[in-house]
Order: sequence, then C-alpha cells, then structure tokens
Amino acid sequence: MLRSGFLLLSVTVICISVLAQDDKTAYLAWLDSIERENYIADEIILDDLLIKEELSDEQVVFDRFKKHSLINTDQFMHCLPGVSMMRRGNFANEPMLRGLTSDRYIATVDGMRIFGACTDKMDPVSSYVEPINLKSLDISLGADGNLMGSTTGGGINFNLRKPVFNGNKKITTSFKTNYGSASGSFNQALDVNISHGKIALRLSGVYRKAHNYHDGNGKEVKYSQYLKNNYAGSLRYMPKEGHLLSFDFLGDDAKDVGYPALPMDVAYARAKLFGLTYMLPAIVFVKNAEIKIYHNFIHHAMDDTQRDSVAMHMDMPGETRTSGGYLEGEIFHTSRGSLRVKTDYFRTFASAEMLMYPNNPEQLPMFMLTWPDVHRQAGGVGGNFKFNPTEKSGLNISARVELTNSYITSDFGERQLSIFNESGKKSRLNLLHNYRLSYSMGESIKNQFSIAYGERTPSVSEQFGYFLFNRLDGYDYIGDPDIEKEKNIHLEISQHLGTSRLQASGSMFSYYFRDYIIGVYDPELSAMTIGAMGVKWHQNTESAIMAGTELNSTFMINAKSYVSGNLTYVYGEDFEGDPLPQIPPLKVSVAFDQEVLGFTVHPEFEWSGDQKRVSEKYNERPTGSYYLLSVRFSNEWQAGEGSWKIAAGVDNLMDRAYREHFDIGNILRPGRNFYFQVSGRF
Amino acid sequence: MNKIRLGVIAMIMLIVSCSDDKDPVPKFETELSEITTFSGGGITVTLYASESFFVGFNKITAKIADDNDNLLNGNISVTPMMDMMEMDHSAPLELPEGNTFSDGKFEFNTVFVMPSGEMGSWTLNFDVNDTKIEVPVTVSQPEYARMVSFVSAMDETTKYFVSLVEPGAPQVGQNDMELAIFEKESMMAWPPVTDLEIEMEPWMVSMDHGSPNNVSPVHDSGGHYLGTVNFTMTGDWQIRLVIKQGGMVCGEPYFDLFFQ
Repeated sequence: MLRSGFLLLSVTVICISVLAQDDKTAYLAWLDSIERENYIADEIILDDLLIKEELSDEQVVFDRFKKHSLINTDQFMHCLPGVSMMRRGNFANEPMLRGLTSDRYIATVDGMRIFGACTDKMDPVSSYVEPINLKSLDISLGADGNLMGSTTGGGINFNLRKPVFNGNKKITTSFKTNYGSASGSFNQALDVNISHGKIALRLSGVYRKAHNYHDGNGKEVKYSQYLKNNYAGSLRYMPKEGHLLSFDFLGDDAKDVGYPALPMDVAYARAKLFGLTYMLPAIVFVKNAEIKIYHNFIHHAMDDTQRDSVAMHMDMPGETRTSGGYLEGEIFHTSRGSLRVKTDYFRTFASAEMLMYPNNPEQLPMFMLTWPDVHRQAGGVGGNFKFNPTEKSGLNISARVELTNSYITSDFGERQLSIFNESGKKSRLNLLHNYRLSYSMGESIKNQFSIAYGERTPSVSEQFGYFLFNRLDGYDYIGDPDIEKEKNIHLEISQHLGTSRLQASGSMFSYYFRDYIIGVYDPELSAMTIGAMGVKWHQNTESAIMAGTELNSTFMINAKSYVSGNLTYVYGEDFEGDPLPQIPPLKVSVAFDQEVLGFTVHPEFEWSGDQKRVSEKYNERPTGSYYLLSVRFSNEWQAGEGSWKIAAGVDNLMDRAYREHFDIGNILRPGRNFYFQVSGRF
Repeated sequence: MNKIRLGVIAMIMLIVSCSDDKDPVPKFETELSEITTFSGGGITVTLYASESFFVGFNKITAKIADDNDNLLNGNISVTPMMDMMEMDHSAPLELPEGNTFSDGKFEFNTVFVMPSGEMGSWTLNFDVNDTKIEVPVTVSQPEYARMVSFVSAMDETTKYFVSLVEPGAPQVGQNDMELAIFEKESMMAWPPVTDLEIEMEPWMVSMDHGSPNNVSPVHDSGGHYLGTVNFTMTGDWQIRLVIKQGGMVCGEPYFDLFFQ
C-alpha cells in the first residue's frame, strides 16, 4: 500500500501539467471508406432529437484514425488510451481496460448485453463487430459503469452504424478491399444505404480471410489463420417528427480460426444479434426516451482436429443466449443541468461442454459440463445527474443499483457440484451498487476529480466454471458458486489543457479492490487437463491495488501537419503485495502527420518498456522492451459524385520480433506487414 | 363444528380401512426382475434380482409358494453351492436374522465367486420347512469385474473376496461407495472380514488424474465398508484400492467402471 502510494505520488509529480478524461469517453470509430460528409450532416440533424447518440462532452477524435486504414476493430482499439489488446492468435483479441480483462468490465453492442460463448475467452464481444458496422465506441474506465451496468472495471459499448435518411440521394454505397502481406490477408467490405421518405435501410457485408502470419523472425506462426463473414442490416422508420423505430440485425460467422497460443482452434463461432428500438419525445415524465428490446445468441465450437499432435482430442462447444431490454431517457435537461435515468433488465444463459476422446479407441470418451446450464438474470435502475454550479465548474453524480440472480438448471451439473458438497440450483442473489461523484473546474485548463465505488457480480466461469484450462498459467480453474461480489473504490484526477494548437489531457487513477476475484491454487486437487500444473479455485481475495496514468496530446504544427503522443502506465499488486498478472508495462507512442504532394504521410513510433514485475503465481515471465515503426500513406480524389481512395503502408517496418507482456502463450506478434487498400464511395 | 367434521372423517376412514382388512390374502410384490423359477417337493421357488446373477455381490429376493401359488411361511435356510465335480464349495452369504420367512418372501445376499460354465455349476440349496429344493442358477462374468479376489501379501494364504456393492450405477458427481469383503476359511466357511483399512482413489486412466473429496471406505458392519467416491466426468474410471491389515498392505485390487 505504501509502495503504491509512493508510486502514485511520483507519477503525480511527473505528469503535473497534463490530464483529463471525462465521465465517458466516446471514440469515433473512423472508417475511411464509410465516413461521408452528408452522412454526418444527416446524422446530426437526426441526432439532435436523440440524445442517446449525442457524443459525450469530452469527445476525443483521433485524427490519425481518420486518415489511415484500419482493417479490424482490434487494430482500432489498440490505439485507444487505456485499452490494450490481448492476443491469443491473430483474431479476436481481447480488449483490456487498464490491465483488467473482460470479466471485470461490461461489453455491450448498441447497449445490448452480449456474452461470449467460449469458456476460454476466444470470442470477446469485440470480435463480432466489424469496423464497417462501427459508428463509435463508448469507453468508461473504472468503477463507473455509466449506466451500462454494474462493474468494477468499466465498460465498452460498440455503437453500430445506422441507416441514414438521405433525401437527396436515394442509394449510396461504399466498398473497401485490402491486402496485407504478413498473413496474406484479404479483407472485403461493402455497404449500401437506401433511403426512401421515412424509411432508411442499410445493408453491409464483410469477408475476411487470412493465412498463417509470419513473425519478426520470419517464422511462420502455425494455426494463426482465420476466415470470417459478417453481415448486418438495419432498418429505420420515422413515423412522425421525433419518433423513430429501428430494427438492427448483426450476424457474424467465423470459421477455421487458429489460436496458436492455445491448445485448440475454433471450428466455428456464430453470433446473431437482434435489436428493436423505439425513440420518442416522451413517455410520461421521461423525455427523449429510448425503449429497446433485444435478443442475441452465440454458438462456438473449439476444435483440435487440425493440430499435428494433441494428447487427446476434445470437442468443446459452447453457447450463450441473452435477451433483455431497457428504458432510458431524461427527467429534465436545462443549460444548468440534466438528469438521465435508465432502467434495464437482461437474462442470459450459458452452457458449455467438453467431450474428450482417448487415443486408445477401446477407452470410452469422457464428458463433462464446463458451464452447467448457467442462468443469470439482472435488473437495474440508475441515474446520472449533471449540474453546473458556475459556468466553469461541473458536478456529476451517478448512482445505480442492480439485483442479479444466478443459478444452474442442469442435473448433470448439479451432480458435478455435489463433489464439492455444493448446489448450483438454488438462487444466489447479489445486490450491486455503483456510485460516482465527479467535480470539474476550469475552462482552458480543466481539472477534474472523481471518486467512484463499483461492484460486480462474478462471471459465469468464476461462479460455475468446471475444470477450465487456462493457458496463461497452465492451471485448471474451478468456479465457486458461493463466490462474493467484487468491489472497487476508484479515485481519479485528470486535467485537460486546450488551446487552438495544443490539446493535452492526462489522468491518474487508483483502484482499490475488495474481494478481488482471482484463481488461488489448491494443492488438494489434481488437474484434469493433461499437462496442467494443478487446480485453482476462483476465490475472493482480501484486496488488490491498481494505479496508473494515461497522457495524450496533439500539437498542430500547421494546417497540414500535426504530432501526437500517448503514454500509458499501469501498476498492480495482489493481496499479498505480489504483482498482478498481465499488467501492461509503460508504453509510449508518437505519431506525425504531414501532407506531401496531395499524399498524407503518417509515420508512427511505438515503444513499450520491459515488464519485470511479473506474477509468479501465474507463471509469468518477464517480457523485454521493444519498439515499432510504421509508415502509412493515403490519397483521396473525387470522381463524379463519389470518391476513390488508395492507402498503403507498412506495419512493423523494422521487422521486430516482439510480443506484448499480456499476450497469452509465447507467440510473437506479426513481423513486417505491407498493406494496400483501395476504397470508394458513390 | 370442526371436531364433529373430523370425527365423521375418522369414522369414514375406519370403515374404509376395515373393508380393506376383509381381504387377508397376502400378495407378493417386488419391482425386481424374475431371474429363474424352480419347483420340487410341492414347493416353487422363484428368484428375483435387479439383474441376472453375476460374479459379485448379488441381492436376491426369493418367492416361496406351494404348487397352487399360495404364499408360504415358516423356517428357511439357503446355501449357495458350486459343484465342480471333484469338489464342492459354497460362497459368502448374508441372511436376515432368524431362520423364518413370512408371506412367501425371503431376502438374502450372496457373493458368487466364479461364473457358471465348464468348471462347474451353481445351485442355491433351499431348506423350506424341512423340504429341500436345489435351485440351479446361472452366474455370468460381467464385462467389468465387480468382484476381485486376491491372496493376502501378508501371510500368502488368506484369500480375500472384495465385492463392489455401490456404486451399482455410477454417475458423475458424488456416489456412495460400499465394499463387501469376505475371506475363504474353508470350502464351506466364508466369513466377513471386519478389520481391514482401505485407501481408495478413483483414477481416470486415459487422462491420468483423480478426483477430489473422496472418503475411503471404513468398516461399518458385517464386512461392509462404506465411503464416498466422486467422479468429475464420465468415462473409464478405475477405483484403486490399497487394502491393509494392521498397517501392512494385503493387496491392491482395483475396479474398472465404465460409464457414459
């Protein structure tokens, strides 16, 4: 505690001048082939009515995303402050928020709760959203769920792109084709927007295929291929002024996805999302109201039949089904303040099994349920009150309570639990509280202080997982049905400096967790997985501490060039004062942007320090420092009513052999990658 | 008012139950399957069990009736006998207390220690009210052994017969574990062994792992040892035993359990 306190102090001194992150940070997902002036204009007209889609106060738009091609959501999120992308392969990276993995934050798509169906976390929610369908990203960090839900680590909401009412142009389309050399990848994306009177429709399709990539040593990384299709449709109908009905569908089919860091690959991962939304000026006393109902399901199947040698072949299918709804709106909204409220409910079902085939055909296959038909229901109500005592100061108070109920329905699963004299069939209720208070003052230099308290319900694996092998530390994990909720007290100070040429912000945070959920080794239990080192229980440990900082700045050199830089650092220690696992080391990135002869040239530099504070309990090894260079070029020109754009560049120019500290397995990231992209919009 | 009502109900029930008692003929009821039936000396013996007889611990219910299917009462004894031409031997046997039976029903347990076949054949020799009936029975070897025998490593003479009574139908999760252990004192004497210490570990052979929270069987009564065995998954489990007497290892038998 003393150590982290000292650290916090020293970080404060170092970054005394920069800072600022507001309640929720919305990142505009920039999609070079999609963004269109009239799209934006129309959206704004519409969105004025619809507060929900208004981006928050502190809108951070990263110019560099605007000019350079990003082929997948992972690549886009990698650039966001406070976000790290953990790799298990070349596909479906798991976002980490300030070193916290997906169990600790909420992930939603258009406000819809969705849960990955893989017990090994091969399918984070981000893997089902393609950039072409992504309009923006809301990220909240820490104990504040920002009305998304109850959380200790924050939340990510992926806002899907919507059809545009486009009076003067009935049909618009855009497309993109991209080739990358490191994995021989082809990415194709197409979308069509059809607008007719009060009805607008948007359809999109994506096809992505990649072979094994080569790492910085020129070595082929086996089992890193993937193939996926993504298709989405969205229909909007405006019955009258201020009313809007929308139906959204998103489908995603991935198959033959390799996970080189894991002992298994994925035969298929299929997600279907349905959402029906109605926005209207008022329901009783709730103004600018949004009502939504949704349903989604994911089927996921792990597969090891393509591997050369496995100790034992296994089938591990998993499934989740989630449905829910919410009502969100404002009680009042004036220039001095506003009160937003939201009430929501969802229910989710998770089931996963494991069928193991012995190499000796005379032996019987073995079967167990790794998620024994787990049901969870959650209902919450919350509000966010904003108030400006003076013109230059702001007060922001959020509160939310949520009641969750978790239980299993499988008799087989109940028998599995009988081994530990446990029952999963009885209801287990958790009342969760989330509160936040923040105060900001200043104009060109804005200081903000916030204190938040958050609680989360344990994840399905933490509560009911059954002998789930974790490749990170090589242990089998068992859930504890009686596990308690986790709590986090979150302090944050931030500062934002804004002049016409310089935008700089920075924040420092500290998390103090109580009942921090982590795997604790039990020497009494013998591992199930062949080669596993033992068994760990998910348990509440007394406490854990995290602290860190994020600094961002952009300086406009002149109208045609700018330089930007980011710095992130996270520190974490567990209840015994030992380092937490998967903590990202100090990272700095600097980018420069210049227009040369009509081309935009954009070199980027990324440096990551080494990580020597490693978790021995998780068998972590220190990771070395590395730096990367990349260069991007692009040019765009008008053609009739539309435009063409070409973009090219090289990632990892120096062909460095590197991995990030929190990556699973000892697999290197891709080496030098040349890419080329053509896109158009008409 | 309520009391009167109660009284009326009680009276009606009395009448109904009285009318039931007018039918004194006892019935023989069992949920077990009929295995075999044999008549002799005016008596018919029908044997019931949950499955056909196997090498191991068999729980048997006998229906004893006359040739007109009237259920009998009286004195009874039974002896399992293996006729191997050159010699005969018996088997471990558990009888209810007292040598009587009523309403034609008689329940007992026996451990058939070998299968019927060319080596010899089994009979269950009943003595019902001084009438002897030898009921021939067929005993088969189950696919996976449910009884194992071994000669004690301590004295190299005592032969133990260890039967797996429970789990009869193993399931994933917690299962009652029951062993019945007898020794062969002579051809005709197979007493229970009550002073053994048992260490037990279930083992998943094809993956080389065990399961947690098992309770090794300890002696309860009459050579029966009770414990708890846990299976974390389906598959080919082996129940590994270390049987000791006075701290010295007598033998390390095991049972294979295959279940899906």
